[in-house]
Amino acid sequence: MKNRSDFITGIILAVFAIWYFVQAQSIRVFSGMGKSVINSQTMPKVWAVCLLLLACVLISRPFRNSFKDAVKKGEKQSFAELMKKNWEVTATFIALFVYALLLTPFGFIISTAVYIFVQTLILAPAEKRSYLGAAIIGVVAASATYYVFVFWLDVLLPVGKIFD
Amino acid sequence: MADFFSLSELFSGFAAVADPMVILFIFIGVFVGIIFGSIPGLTATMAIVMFLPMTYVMSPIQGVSTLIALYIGGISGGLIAAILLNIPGTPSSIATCFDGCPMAKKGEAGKALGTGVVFSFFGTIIGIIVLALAAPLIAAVAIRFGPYEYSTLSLCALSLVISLTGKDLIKGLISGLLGIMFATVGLAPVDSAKRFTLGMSELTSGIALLTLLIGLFAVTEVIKAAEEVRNPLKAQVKYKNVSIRGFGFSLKEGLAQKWNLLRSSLIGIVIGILPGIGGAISGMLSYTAAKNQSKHPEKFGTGIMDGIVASESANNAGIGGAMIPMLTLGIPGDAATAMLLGGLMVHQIAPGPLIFEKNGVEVYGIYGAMFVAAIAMLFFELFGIKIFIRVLKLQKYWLMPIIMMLCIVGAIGNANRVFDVWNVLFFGIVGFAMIKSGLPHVPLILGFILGPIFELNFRQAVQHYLIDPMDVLSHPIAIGFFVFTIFVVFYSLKRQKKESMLISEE
Repeated sequence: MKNRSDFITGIILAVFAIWYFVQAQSIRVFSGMGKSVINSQTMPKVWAVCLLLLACVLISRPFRNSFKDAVKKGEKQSFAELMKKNWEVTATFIALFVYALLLTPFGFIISTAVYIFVQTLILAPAEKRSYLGAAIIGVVAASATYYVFVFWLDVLLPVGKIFD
Repeated sequence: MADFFSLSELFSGFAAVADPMVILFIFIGVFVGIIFGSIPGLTATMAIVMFLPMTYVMSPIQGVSTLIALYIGGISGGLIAAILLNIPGTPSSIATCFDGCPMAKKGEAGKALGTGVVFSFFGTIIGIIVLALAAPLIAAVAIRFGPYEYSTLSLCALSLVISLTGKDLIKGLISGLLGIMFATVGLAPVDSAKRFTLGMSELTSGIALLTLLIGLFAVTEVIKAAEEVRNPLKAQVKYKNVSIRGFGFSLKEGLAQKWNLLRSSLIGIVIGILPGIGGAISGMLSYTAAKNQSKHPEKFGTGIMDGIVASESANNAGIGGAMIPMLTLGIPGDAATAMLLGGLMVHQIAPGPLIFEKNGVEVYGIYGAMFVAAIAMLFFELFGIKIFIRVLKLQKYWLMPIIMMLCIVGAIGNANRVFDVWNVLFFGIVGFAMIKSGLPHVPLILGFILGPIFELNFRQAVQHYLIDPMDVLSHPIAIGFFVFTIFVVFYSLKRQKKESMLISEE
């Protein structure tokens, strides 16, 4: 499992390093300061090459260990099975993504109340789930936080475009 | 030396902390910090992340004192769960479990808690004294640092972090590199060329340290809580009527621990100064040292005071140790001090060798706040232990969404823009992916902080070198840092090779 994870991590990092290197080439070099050995492109390129080399080491690990862990029988899981097994994790990421998405149009209070409600239900074990409790906590916490931060602590929180 | 100590600033700093509002904030900070420390899964770093936005409108002294109080309370609070649940509330308290839990099982829970609390206090005080004595000396040396010294120092610190964090050198290096690469987003040092902004104007100013930390720590904690839904930690406080009478132990018993206290505190301070190691290792090391030096090593693990004294004095003394490089060089030792560094920047306090010159009052204020926070910690944990035991019963599914909300407020409030919420989410995904891939978080944070310092100073150093190559020889400190870095790298490679050979033999 560890070897397979290293292999996948290595591939992702290698792709990132190549993308980063390509992006580094498009950095505009300021020539007004005279000729210099090191410019704004140099260090990013060095970091990209270093990361690529390290990613290659990670990718090569399973081959050095003959994939002995990776090919164990019964270890492979389909993507759907993996998602089902970790649905709370997937749901949390989706909840956070939707929260960030709703913040600007619906404002802090509504989006936060909805987020707290949903997140509490995701994290609570099935037998202890309380829809009313989660809803009350969501509304009270979102409203109280908005009031305290906006009116007492002068932190600007989004009001919501629908209220403009 | 004159520039690094000013009696008037010392009085001004202490007077600022003596303000009733500041003391109130410190007491609240310590109380909340202990709650965070005592609940397994919540840490001092999380407490600082969550409360940072509340300090935005405070004066620098008020804000920084509150953050320091959260830090001290958070580190100390871990002992409660370690003793009563046999689960360390924070990683710093792992070694406290070894003797704390057996003591509680023997019916000595009050004594174990009292020992932990009192020696946490003494450890913190020793850490503060060393910080107050060492910081001006280091600042006095560091003020002479130029591009050569800073570039080699950042390399040295990064190599230490990578070699000391985790067992896998390659993964430590990758994590550090990722941090450096994320830090390149924004304007380049020296010529301010736009880099990796992907056409987004919001990225021109770079990625804020705060959003990176919130994503790495807060989001990943919520995700970890989501992973635990089907396998919850079923730990309950089984001991009835836990209370601490007096200090929980006699004066004679306390005095017998003086050398253990001193040794463990010094270990904690040294480990605190070294970047990337953290309280968990210092607790374990001091526990081992106490056991090796003891006349009755066989009793360790059966429930004796010595083990708790070693662990708790070391992890709390580490606070003072970690503050030394953070204040004088701007290099944090761990995630919590990285968060504090972000907090200091929010309050316009620039850590570095000039801190005594530019923010002398605030520095002495920090010492004063640490001292008051240590007293508050002693007070709350000795007299309010029953409250914290009740807190252990709080369910995480009520707490985590609210903590996340406050972290989002912190992200928005940092630059008054919703864009940073997306950054938080992005780093949450990165943090989760790193956990799953076995990549440590701390090198990434240090890489993010040290990367820009290295690049700026390295570019300047190269320009100096091109003008006068022999000038390098007049920088012995830089040469020293460079040689030390090479030593660390070779030592780490040797250790890594040895460990992989041992694994393959098994």
